[in-house]
Amino acid sequence: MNNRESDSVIGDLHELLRAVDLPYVDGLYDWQTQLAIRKNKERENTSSRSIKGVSVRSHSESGWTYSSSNKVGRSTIRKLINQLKKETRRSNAKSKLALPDPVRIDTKTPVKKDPLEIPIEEKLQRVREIYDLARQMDSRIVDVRVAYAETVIDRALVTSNGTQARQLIPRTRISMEIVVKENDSTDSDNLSLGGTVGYEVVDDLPEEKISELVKSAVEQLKAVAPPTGVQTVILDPGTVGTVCHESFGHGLEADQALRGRSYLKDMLGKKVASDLVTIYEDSSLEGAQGSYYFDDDGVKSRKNTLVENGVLISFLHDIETGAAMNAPLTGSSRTQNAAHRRFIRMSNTYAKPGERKLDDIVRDTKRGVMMMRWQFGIEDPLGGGMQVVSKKGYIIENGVTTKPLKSITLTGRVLEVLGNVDAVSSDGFFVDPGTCGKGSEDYVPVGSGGTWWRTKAVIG
Amino acid sequence: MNITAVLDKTTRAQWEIYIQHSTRTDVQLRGSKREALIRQENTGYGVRVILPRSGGAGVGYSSCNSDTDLEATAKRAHDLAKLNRSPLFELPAKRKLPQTKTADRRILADSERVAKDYADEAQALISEEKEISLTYGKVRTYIVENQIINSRGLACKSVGTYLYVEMTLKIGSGTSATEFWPSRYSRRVSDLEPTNIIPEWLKIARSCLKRHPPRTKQTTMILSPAVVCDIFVPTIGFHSSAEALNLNLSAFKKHQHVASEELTIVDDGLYPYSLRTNSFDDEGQPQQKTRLIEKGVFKNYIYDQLHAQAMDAKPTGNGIRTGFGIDVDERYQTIPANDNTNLTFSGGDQSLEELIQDTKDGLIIYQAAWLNPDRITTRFGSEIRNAQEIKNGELVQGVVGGSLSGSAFELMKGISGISDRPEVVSGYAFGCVAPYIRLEGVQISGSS
Repeated sequence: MNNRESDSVIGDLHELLRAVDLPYVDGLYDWQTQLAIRKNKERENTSSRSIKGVSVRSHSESGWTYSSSNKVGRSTIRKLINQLKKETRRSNAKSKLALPDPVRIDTKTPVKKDPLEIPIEEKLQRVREIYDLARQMDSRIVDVRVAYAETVIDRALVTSNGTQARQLIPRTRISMEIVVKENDSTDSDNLSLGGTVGYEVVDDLPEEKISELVKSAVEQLKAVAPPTGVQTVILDPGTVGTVCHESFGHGLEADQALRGRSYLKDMLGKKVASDLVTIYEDSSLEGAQGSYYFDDDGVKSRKNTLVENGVLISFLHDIETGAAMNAPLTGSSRTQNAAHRRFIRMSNTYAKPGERKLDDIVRDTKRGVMMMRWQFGIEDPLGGGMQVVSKKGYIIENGVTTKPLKSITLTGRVLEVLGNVDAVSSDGFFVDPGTCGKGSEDYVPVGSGGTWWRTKAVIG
Repeated sequence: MNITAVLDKTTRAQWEIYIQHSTRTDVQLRGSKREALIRQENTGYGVRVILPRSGGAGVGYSSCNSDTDLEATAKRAHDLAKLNRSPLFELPAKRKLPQTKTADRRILADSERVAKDYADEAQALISEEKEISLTYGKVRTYIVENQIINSRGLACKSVGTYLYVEMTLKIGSGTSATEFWPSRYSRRVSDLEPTNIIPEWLKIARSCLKRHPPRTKQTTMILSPAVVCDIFVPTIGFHSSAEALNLNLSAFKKHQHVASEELTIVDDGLYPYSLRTNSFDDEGQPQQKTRLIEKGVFKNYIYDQLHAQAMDAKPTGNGIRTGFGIDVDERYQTIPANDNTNLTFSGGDQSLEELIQDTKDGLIIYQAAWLNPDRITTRFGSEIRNAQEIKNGELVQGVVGGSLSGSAFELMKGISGISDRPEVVSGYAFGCVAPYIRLEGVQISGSS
């Protein structure tokens, strides 16, 4: 990273914003660099990315005004500020925000093996090794897709009330997809590992993980469609995390409450899930994909309890909703990059482990479905529904997993699905890396996890 | 920047630069007020270097606009290309390009005014409703200039405009409220005129004022153009690609019956004002019309430059820069892939009203939560967000909840009707022109 250039942009923002006569104004500088390596049967692709941007914003009774550019020079910043002043003067310049105490911070997430210190040749060789190893594991494999990505986000926030905060966050990720074919049946399975970690996630990838993935993809060739309708379902930790993320993650974004778009608005302190359900939102979780030091309003990262023993404890806030709802800040304001608006977002959402063993829960299930390997989910902030899709699963009959199942879609009313949770495992805790959009845009890295849950829901 | 001189100096291999310059205005709404106004101006480029002997391809993306930055990006791409192993291919040479329609004069003239006026008009139209209200909305305009230059003398440029509208409409009030959450891209305002689209969306919202969850069953289903697009673009798109053929993953074989006879689909890169319409694809090849499925029979695969050369075929203008979460003005951050331009369905011979009248018992699905089918297996499952029951040829109560699921390619074999007026229904990552399609035997999951 070119520290000198970043320092210069931050200095310009500090100097130019100080002279702006508006109730609140801030500037965000963002520089994202990435190295990506992709390999499959057809080709190898290696790409390098360096995307910069700066945005300034103000707040008034007429809402937020942003101006942004990916030119980061002093003259551009001055032009952006002038646009902001023009627009905000036209409107009433009063502003009500819950501003945090100003902070001065310049920090970097430490990792065990800094990817930037490892030659690209070595990384490409490792991707080829993983590809070759998987490829020769089964004759039914028609393609193996391996993707490696290392990203460093260099982000700084400068505010008119004195915050000057900069953080460097590295994220490293390795993903694999195994595609298999036998006669006319084709299927696949996939795996992704990573977080705010270094190259160790690639170096330490065990061979057993790859062989398990190959076995699982091959098993999908014989898998059948899942049963439909209301079923007892056992969810794996990644799927539990996605359920938490879609239900009491998105459902608790306070900006949706201000819009009149949250069915949970008047349910603080009320029972919203089974006693067994406790859900956290933790942007300070070490090594997880969604972690950071401070959010994009300058609020320090922290662990928030959203639901405790089934009772709704807190919404997620930024400096606007914190003021409007008179609530403590949760450090949840995030943006994809300087070209995007800041919104209230999740970081790492996960469920607290329970007291039973998974084996015991399965043994105790007469008939049901096990859902594994979550693929994606979506929220329904006003209607209170949700959808989570997993890649695979199993039928459970008389306490034993039997036939493999093809992809499964879980839907239902959040309050019912989480109210129906009757078993939570103590084992298998894991937080999966993922990406989350606000609606279908504005993607940020997140983590989702927990342990195994049993509940009842509509599947198809 | 003197692009050609800098790139010629930096790499002796074949090079290509894809440049996007864009301006965006985004008006975000909260009820009857404005929540945010966002203005952006961005320039970025992707440099691709291809080495003549190894076929290695390296790519550098940057938003840093100076000769020094361009030189560094090109050098990085060249160094990466030296490491890679890929099939040998050449970048396209200059060719005659077709004429296309991609820009709206209204947006070109004053994109910020268009966004603000559109937002005001939408708010005014929705405020007239009693039981439906606007909770949140986005209206966004873009002007995007795309340019490709390569070392083989190709140089082409185009300007496109876009309008994006997303509205969340609250249906009813109190704890029983639900919502209709549509979004749509278009290239010109007249395709999404507020006086046309907002009443259409309000009508769907009103249909869900009285609603119930579905029962588990197999049923006749009419899919809205947006749902047709979500199910079939990723699946037909992948299986008609030369990439899928080359990987032995395509379920299609030429001249094979793959769908009911009613189905005819063209990949139409020239369709006026559709999302992926352009004179040239993202490698500089002329875009064209390619017949994919004719009366249920698969006809042709689509080719980008790499697959055309590797498989001894002609490129069809299907080298497209796209990616998850990549908006229309961020495409310079991606590598060209073998993908559809605009998947264009032919209309049938019945109006939507006739399709409904002709249905004894079924559902019309206006919106599903997120269909996102598996492109290889074509399986999908999604929550039903807004639907309406059909009984004896008439629309009755709304249906919300439960899910629909199945395989896209199985559904294609059960088509029993197609409406006569296909619409441009694009999302940010694809172009599509689709009608309403009626299907038989679709699985619904709900209560027992």
